[in-house]
Amino acid sequence: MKKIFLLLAGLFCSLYAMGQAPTRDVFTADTPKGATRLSKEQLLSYMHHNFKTSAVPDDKEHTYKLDGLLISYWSLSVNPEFKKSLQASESEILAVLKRNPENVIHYSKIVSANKIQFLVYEYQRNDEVLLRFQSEFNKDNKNINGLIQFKKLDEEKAQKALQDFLKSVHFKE
Amino acid sequence: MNLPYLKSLKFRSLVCFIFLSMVFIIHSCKKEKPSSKTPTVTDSQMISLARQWYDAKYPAVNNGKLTTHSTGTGAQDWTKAFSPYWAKANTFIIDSLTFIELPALKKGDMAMSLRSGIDPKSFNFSKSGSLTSLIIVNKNGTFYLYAMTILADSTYLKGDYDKVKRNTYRNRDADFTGEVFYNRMDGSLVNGWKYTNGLITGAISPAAPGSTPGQVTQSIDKKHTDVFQETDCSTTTTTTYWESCDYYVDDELYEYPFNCSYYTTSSSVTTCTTTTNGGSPSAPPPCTPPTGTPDPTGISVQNTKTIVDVAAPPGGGTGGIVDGTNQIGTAPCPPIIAPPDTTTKIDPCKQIHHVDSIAQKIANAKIISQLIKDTYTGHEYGDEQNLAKWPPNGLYNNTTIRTDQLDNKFTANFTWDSANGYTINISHEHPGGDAPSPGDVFNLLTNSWNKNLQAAGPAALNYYLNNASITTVTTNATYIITITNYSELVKLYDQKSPASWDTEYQETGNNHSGSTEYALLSLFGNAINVFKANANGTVFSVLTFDKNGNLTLTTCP
Repeated sequence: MKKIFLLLAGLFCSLYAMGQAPTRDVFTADTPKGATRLSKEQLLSYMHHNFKTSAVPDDKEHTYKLDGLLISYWSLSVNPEFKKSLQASESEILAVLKRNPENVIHYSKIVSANKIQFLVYEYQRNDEVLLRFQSEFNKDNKNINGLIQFKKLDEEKAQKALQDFLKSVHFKE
Repeated sequence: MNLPYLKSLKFRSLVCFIFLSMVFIIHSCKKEKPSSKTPTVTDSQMISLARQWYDAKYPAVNNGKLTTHSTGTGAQDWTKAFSPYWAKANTFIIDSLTFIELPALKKGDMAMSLRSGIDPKSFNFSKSGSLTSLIIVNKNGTFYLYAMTILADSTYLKGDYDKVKRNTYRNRDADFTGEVFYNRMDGSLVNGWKYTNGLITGAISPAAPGSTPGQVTQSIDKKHTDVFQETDCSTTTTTTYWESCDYYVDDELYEYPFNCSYYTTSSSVTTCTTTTNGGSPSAPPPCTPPTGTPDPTGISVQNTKTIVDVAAPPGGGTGGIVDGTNQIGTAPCPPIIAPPDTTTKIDPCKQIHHVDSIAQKIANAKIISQLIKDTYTGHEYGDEQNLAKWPPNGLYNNTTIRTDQLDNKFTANFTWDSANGYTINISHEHPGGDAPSPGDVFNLLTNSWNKNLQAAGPAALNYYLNNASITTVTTNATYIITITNYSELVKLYDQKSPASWDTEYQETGNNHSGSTEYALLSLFGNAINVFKANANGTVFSVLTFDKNGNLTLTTCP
């Protein structure tokens, strides 16, 4: 019985570890539950068949499809002199979005999750919505970026996916 | 039908005679037809016509044998000082215009000098190295009279003061060093050229009103080094020493003066020299031979020495009259579809001093600080920096700062004309703090298609491509973008619509933590150079990617 318990515990730990999506040495986050990971080719094919415009970068390791949602997240590093506050980034991003009359800006806000500040903003082009997020930079000048692309009808699912991500995300120590 | 006479020799001879006669008559008629071609005017006829024009225009001058000059008044009626030596007229045609070059018979003496303060009575005219001739130009039947003064440098003369006479309107000595000035007969300077060892090294123009003698330069502190293309201008005073004498009526060649008096006149001139660092082997020739439009890119590199040729006419001719008033030497160039040397990428560090210089001028005029203040209104404000003159004389005019009352648009007013100036930089602010937009990038290109700029010829267009910039002011930084590869910029422009570029720019930036700098450089970095300074700063660094693909700032040496 003890052996079976240890075996099950080991199996649980392994599965939990597999569910974590370590982005090299920057942060960890849960893989979206029920999501299918996409290769570059699969992503391009999925985008082509389901969306008019492609906003999801095709070179990111963590790219998933989940019930009409395309989810992708990644880390970035910058040289120190290029670190910006989330407020400065928000201003810059909104200015650019406003230049393009095709964009309908839904909102932008700064939220906190697991002691990390995130800028979250959402905008729409035609019936396709982009829900983006980016964290503040950590002491190593790295941050977390992500994007959920979906059709307007899937707004609720997208918001839940974002909340799930934010609940599980942590910078690696 | 049998016609035996057709075969007879007599009949055949008759037919042949009639045929030849008809050919002769027809040919003769053709020759006698009045020709619509303008009859050719011979050189002597042209000189005769010019003389008739001169006698009619300056009758008092022509008739006056006993001539007196008012002294010390700075009189600038040069017709009283010079008259054409018709017997030694020399005619030639340049750019479809007839030129007559004549030695000037001087009623007294006259010499130009770069040295002032010499007592005119003690001035040694024979060792002045100054030679004045008269140039008459016939344009569409109208005559124009100019005085050409060649002022040789002592390094060229080497004590041989007659050496200056080797130089004419069309030909300069291979080692000629000095200046050539063209004046109207009211004494006003039309233009001139500075020569070094037979090469044109500067364009001379009347100094702008209010200019004071001294160096006026477009660069901050570096000249002739590390600058991609820099026009340095200096304002100096030329002094004309006059000897005014009386002559007897029968002294037609003014050989026996008496009652001489002496005085000086002076004028301020600006000499502009454009330099580059190891630039292109040679510039495209200006389209108005032999004088042409001064070509700031006319550079040839010999050994390690940079030699500047601001007006290299085809065939290595001379720098002549460029008179905008009479449209002589200013014939418009044919439109240029593709400007020269558009594929070579320009090293940003060779533009950095020009960029710093532009920024310094804008900062000095408090434009950057004003634009930073304006960011708080939320609207885009902007203005233009226009060259006061073409060719550049180092002076700029700033247009009025204004706004379209829009948060994300400023409508610039690009001009390339003498009335409004020659736009070389457009300054505007981005209240959101974003870097230059795709619209800003393509404005650099579309402004180059301005009709006036295109018509101004390859020198102007080349100058624009090498020096035009767009400045974007934010509360955190100031950006200046310049063209680095024109062909690449055209290619990008043709690739997709402005809206598509806006979308790609926005998504590229958003995928990189909202960095518009990243978007700008990754999308347009092959076509433009991006320079960045701190807010209200005037010392720029080059925005590039490091080996990890991250943005970095490179300081130029």
